[in-house]
Amino acid sequence: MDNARWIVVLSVILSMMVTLTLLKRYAGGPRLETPTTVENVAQTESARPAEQNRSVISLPSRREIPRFGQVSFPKPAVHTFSVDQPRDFDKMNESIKNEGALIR
Amino acid sequence: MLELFKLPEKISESKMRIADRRGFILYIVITVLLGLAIMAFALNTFKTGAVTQLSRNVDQNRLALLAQSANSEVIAMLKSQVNLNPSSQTFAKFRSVFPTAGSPPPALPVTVDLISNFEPQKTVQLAKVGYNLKIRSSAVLTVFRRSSLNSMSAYNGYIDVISKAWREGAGEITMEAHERRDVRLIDLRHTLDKYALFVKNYSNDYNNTSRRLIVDGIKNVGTHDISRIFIGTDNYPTCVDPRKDLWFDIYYDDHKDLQGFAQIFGGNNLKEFPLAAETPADYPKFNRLFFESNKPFTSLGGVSVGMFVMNKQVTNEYERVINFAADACMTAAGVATEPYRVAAALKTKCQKAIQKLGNPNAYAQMMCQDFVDKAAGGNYANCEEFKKLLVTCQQNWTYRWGYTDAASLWKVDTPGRAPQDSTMPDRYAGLSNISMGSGNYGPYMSEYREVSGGAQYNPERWHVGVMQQFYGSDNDTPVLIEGKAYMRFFKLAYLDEFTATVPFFNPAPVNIRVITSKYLRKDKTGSFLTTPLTAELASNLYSDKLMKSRAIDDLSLNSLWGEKIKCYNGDGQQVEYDPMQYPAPIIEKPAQPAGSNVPATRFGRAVDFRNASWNYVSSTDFLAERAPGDGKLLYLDGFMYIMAGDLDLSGVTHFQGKGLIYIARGNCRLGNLERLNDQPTSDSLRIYLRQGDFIINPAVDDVVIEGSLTAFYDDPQGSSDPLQQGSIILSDRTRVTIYGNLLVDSLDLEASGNSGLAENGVLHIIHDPAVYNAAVTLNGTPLDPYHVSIGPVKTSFSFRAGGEES
Repeated sequence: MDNARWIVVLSVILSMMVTLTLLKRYAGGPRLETPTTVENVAQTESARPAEQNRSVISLPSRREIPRFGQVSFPKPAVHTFSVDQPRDFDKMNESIKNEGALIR
Repeated sequence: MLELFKLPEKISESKMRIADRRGFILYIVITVLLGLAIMAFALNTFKTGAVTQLSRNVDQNRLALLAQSANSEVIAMLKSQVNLNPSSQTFAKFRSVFPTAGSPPPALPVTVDLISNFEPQKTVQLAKVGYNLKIRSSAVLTVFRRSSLNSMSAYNGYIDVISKAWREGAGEITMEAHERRDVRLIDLRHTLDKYALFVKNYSNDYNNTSRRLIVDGIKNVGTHDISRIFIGTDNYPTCVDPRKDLWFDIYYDDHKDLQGFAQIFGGNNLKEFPLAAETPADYPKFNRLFFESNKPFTSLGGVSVGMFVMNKQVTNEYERVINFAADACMTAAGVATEPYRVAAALKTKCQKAIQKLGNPNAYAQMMCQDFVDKAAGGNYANCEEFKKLLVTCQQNWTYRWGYTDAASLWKVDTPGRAPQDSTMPDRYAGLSNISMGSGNYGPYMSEYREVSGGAQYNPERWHVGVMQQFYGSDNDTPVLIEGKAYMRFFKLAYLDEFTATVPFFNPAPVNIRVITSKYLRKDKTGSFLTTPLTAELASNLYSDKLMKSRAIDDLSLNSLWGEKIKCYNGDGQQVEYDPMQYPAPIIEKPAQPAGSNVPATRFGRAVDFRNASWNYVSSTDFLAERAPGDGKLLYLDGFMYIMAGDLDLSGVTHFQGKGLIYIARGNCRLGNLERLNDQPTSDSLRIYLRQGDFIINPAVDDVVIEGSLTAFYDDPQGSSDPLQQGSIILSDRTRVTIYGNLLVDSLDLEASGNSGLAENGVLHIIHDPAVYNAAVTLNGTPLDPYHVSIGPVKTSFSFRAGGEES
């Protein structure tokens, strides 16, 4: 191949590079961001997400016991007439020793 | 010719090169254009596919995001309505799980459609920016477990929230987000709520005058709702007294207007013992009698005058008469009289007198002769003249008695309980006058302080004073008092003095002075003081058939209220308890269903930990999460279990929400703590200490706590070790007000180490109607006894992408 033909090949390559460069520039594709250092957060334990401070406008102290003119009670709920038997406490104490420890 | 056609060589070569270059340029141009065309085509194809793919990705992401947003909105809506918006469907549907009077507990598992085909508005608004999207949500509550305890109405469940999002008209892209949240449902009411005060152990402070306890029950007179007070006697002092009860000293100033007072004493005017007309004006009067009466000795029955043969007042008078007779003999015989003698010496004196006079017909000698013949040492029972004196006594004695309170007999405001000055005369001296008792105590105290069986006969008996105010600040609020609780008042009694002529051989006037009916313990028999009478002395209701001054201590404390008390019995039936009966129908055990026999020692609130909405390993975790920021506001959310305290709430001043804080082990420190929102609100706080004490912050005085405070030591229950008893340490405060109720193993108002109240301090318990029954209606606003906790964590989360919605 003579020199002229090399020139043709090079011109084709050059024109394609120019074309791609222009396309890339004006196509609006994603640009590479400069990589940023990600802060290395210690993840040794997963703490409960604590609630953010809630803004409380004021916490007024009444210091007066309210008295109500109209008070009416419904019939007491059925379960309020059940009395825990000693075996219920024994069962609960067992539960504390077993299940209660599991939540730790 | 050939040469003619033959071009010059140079010309033809150059022309040929030109022709070659033209082709070459064209070739380059075509090549470039072809390259550009290929590139453009490739780019177009690539872009079209990418854009389509991208738009689909964007759609899916957007729909997924919106579906999640919809789920969040639904959860937020449920959370905002489930406890705070009684008018909402959500509120009602969650509560439909709980059994009511008309509907039994549901068969589990049960599902409740909370919302269906719901369009979450906020999410839709977000979605409609640029796209026309459709979003529909639904939520279903599934309840699968009930508390294992009958006394605890609580359920475990979960909510499934499903939100679907799709583009209107492009139904081939649908995203469905599903999430699940744990739910705990609890009815906070408990059988102990009806108690304004529940104390299991014995306390000697119930008549304390320097540390006062005021209990204001719920004011709902006329209905069957009434506050209860349980006063226990666990760990009663070791003593041989068969009665190991508690006595509450009534006080005229406090109780005179109660119906029971008037019924028992026939009115509420103060009376006084009558005195003879010739009594000096400055003679002390006892004018604090609620009831006063008298009977002739002969009408008492059961006792005889023979029981008085050794009585000082009678024998002294007889000795005076006989001395006088002996002196008369000696005077008549013209010899000097001898000094005053008694008993055997008097007999010798009489013998000398008879010998000197020697006139058997003289009346004086006859009396002396009778004495010499019949007297046996200090016992004159066989003397005929003495018998005449006894008969005269029998005919002239008047037995007087009246009922009064402890404060009229002892200086109950002073630590030593010295007798009141008004009890100095013999007629009022039967109970408290030190000269009638032993040591520095009057008969009543000394009898019970007497050591028997290695311990005082019963120390509780001599703790006299003024009972704590169980009927409210104004003594106008009924309560039902359970336990071995008896009211106590006192009888002062005596045989009144008289002057009468005795038909001796030589009739002579005698003056028998007042015979004090002093107190004698029941087990000391053989005296007229402890011999049952046939006559009934009681003013009303109770029984009094003993001559001694005494305590009337076998009337139920409830009889002070004076009317039948409407209440619910242990089975929930409406009943009337009538305290105005005798013997006293005391209620020994806390209310419980028929057939149940749980002693007060074993009362408490057992819980099923699997119903806890929050579990905390430590109180630090609890405070960090429930009282964030400056820590002054506590957010309650149902049944919250803390494994180990101490829980320091002394920095928390307010709370919001509704909950039960259950601390398995450790104390709880409290300062001022009240609701953030004014009542009527369903907000309420219950703190239950399973192994600990409440400790009032010593840095704050005049403490106000709104909440139900329970410290019932468990594991073991009923321990005699003070370290294993739940109590409230009052930290020497002057005033502690609990607007709720107080349930403890032991309650010491006056105690060493600053753990009681300060002197003249007051512990005021006001039974909050919202604690008594959390479903109360206050001023027309019904409160909600239930609390639903929706977990903050998604226990399950999934997406489903598909089509078909349009």
